[in-house]
Amino acid sequence: MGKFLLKLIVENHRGVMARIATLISRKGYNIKSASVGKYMNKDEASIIILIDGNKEEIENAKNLLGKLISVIKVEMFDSTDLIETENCFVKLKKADGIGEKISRFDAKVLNETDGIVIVETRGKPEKVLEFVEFMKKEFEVIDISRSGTNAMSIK
Amino acid sequence: MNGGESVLSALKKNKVEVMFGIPGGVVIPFYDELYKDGNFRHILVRHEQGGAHMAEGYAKASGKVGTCLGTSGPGATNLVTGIADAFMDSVPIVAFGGQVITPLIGKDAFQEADLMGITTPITKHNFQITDPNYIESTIDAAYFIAKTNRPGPVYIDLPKDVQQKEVIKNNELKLRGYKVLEGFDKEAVKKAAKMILEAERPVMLVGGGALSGNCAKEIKEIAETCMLPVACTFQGKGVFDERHPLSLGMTGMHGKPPAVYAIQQCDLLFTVGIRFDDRVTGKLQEFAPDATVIHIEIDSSEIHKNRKADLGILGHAKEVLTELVKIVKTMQHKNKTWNDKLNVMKKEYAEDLDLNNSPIDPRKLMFELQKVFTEDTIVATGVGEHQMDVAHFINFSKPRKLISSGGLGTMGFGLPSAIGAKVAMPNNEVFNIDGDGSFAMTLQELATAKVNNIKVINVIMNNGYLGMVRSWNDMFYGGRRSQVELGKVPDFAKLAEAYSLKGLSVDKPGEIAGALQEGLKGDESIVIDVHTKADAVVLPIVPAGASNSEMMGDRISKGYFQK
Repeated sequence: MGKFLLKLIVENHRGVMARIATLISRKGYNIKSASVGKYMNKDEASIIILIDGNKEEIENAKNLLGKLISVIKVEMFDSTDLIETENCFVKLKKADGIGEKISRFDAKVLNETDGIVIVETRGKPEKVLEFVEFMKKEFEVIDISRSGTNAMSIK
Repeated sequence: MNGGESVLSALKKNKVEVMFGIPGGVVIPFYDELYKDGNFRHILVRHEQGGAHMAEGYAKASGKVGTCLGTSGPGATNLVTGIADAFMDSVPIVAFGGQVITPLIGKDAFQEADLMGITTPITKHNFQITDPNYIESTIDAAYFIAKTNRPGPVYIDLPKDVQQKEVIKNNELKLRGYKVLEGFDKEAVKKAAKMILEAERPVMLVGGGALSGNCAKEIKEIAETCMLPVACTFQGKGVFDERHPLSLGMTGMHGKPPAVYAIQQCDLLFTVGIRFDDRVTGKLQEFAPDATVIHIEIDSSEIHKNRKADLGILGHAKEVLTELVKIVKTMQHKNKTWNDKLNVMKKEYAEDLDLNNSPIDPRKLMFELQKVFTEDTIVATGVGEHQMDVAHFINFSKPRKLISSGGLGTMGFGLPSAIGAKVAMPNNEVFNIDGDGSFAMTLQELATAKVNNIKVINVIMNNGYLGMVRSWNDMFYGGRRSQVELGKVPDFAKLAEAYSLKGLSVDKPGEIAGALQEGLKGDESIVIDVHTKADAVVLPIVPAGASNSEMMGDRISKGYFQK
């Protein structure tokens, strides 16, 4: 077992995500995270998928995804060769000493309205998870938005 | 030119000879253009599933792309079984579905269904055309995708308003994510040749990929040059002449014991265009345990999918094998002992059974059929016991002569696929060997055969049961026959008469030959209802999930697979 990055460059059409999701769910792959954004040209999008499994299984996933007509390119990378970052917003009831308590994380208060505070952090997924757990313990958390992991191979 | 005309002209441009379809509300604009044009062959079917299977039969028999159409909603959902079937067996078809006008899509309009969502997991690709300027390029792309690389079905969703609007100019559609596979690893082919040379107990196993790769000639050359025994999967039947001295016949759950034996014992399994399906491998971990595997495949996702290949070669089977032929012609083979052993086993298993008792034994029916089949006879089947009897007992000498639903196992496939095959190959005699349960699922297409004067000789192995399930009830479920008794209803001979076709009822073994001759003599479709033994079991069999070495059968001795 291991963690792998699949980087897909796809045609930026309606329904492309559905094709990819359908394939992934049909084959039962264990997706940890997915994030989507425009790629170099406006008619291309990139999809960053972090996926757990053994190497053969993920290679098969790569081959299957590559067969989709809307997928222009697929690359597979080992987790040891990656830079990973995730962004996370936490919404909470205003409380004393927020700034002080979050200071040991790379986090900051982004917004404060009517007694509701939004805090942002970014970093490695494990770090973000740790931050979320900490916030839940320390504050009355109302909502969380995680971006999914963005990643790039260092090679 | 409006959209409907554009569809028609794109079909002609792609050399579509025939479409199997049924009109409905949202496709009337297209059908109106078809009427006005008057120069395009359309066969009106009685159920869209029948149309889809006809497209498959047409494609399987001819190697061309089959075409079918249904209206929106239920018309298109009825196509779905055929599309899924084509996906599992890699059959090139283009299926068109009507769709409600574009402003109504997603509004739950009358006869609206999300066919893009429904067909995504069962097609090679699908398109929804929302701009008439893309009709031609989309249809071009659909036919291109269906027939290139590993073939498969493509679905096109065609909204009504797109058929009505004017086409201003034909816009290009870029397929940036699809390329035709080119070339292969020549070093790997050299390595394969060396492995074949060094093997002591080699077996070649050919599948549907070898059939669609049109490489029967190359396979024969390699087999004869290297003295390789050749087994086939169900979909590979006919790629290598099953009467050839080197043929082992079909392997798998209901395969020939010598073929199953050879694969279980081989030290080299040389495969072409197979996907290591569970019906072929049995318990995967115990499949061909001592074999080094060479896998020639056009689809990268099939290599290592089920069985890890020691040498995977990605490429067109025909090109790879042509290269391999050149190399092996310079080599000496050394597997005589192995071939001698297999020949003895084949002789021991030869079918020389005397089965003249009533009620008719299904095997008797198969032997009588084999007598009237020529190498050019096309045989379609339904799904069930009769299908496995055909697979086990009938030898095929040429590719594209067995038309059957392997992967999906679609009951009702027989009659419509036989009609499609006959339309593609009008000079070949076409049989549909069916079961009573299977035939009943699409028998309305007898009307299509009658009205369009398409001749299919239907032979029904009628035992009054869903026989395959019944035999599993008997073998593996303590004889508890749960919901499998159909009864001898309807009388299929009389039913044929209701469709203004000839129907014959056969009860005794001695009547079979005469009935078949009558079918061959006539120039219309016929239904020959053969009443067979109700408790016949398809043997041999590898129980589902068991190792192939646990194959059971009345003529498989204890220790057969340890010889």
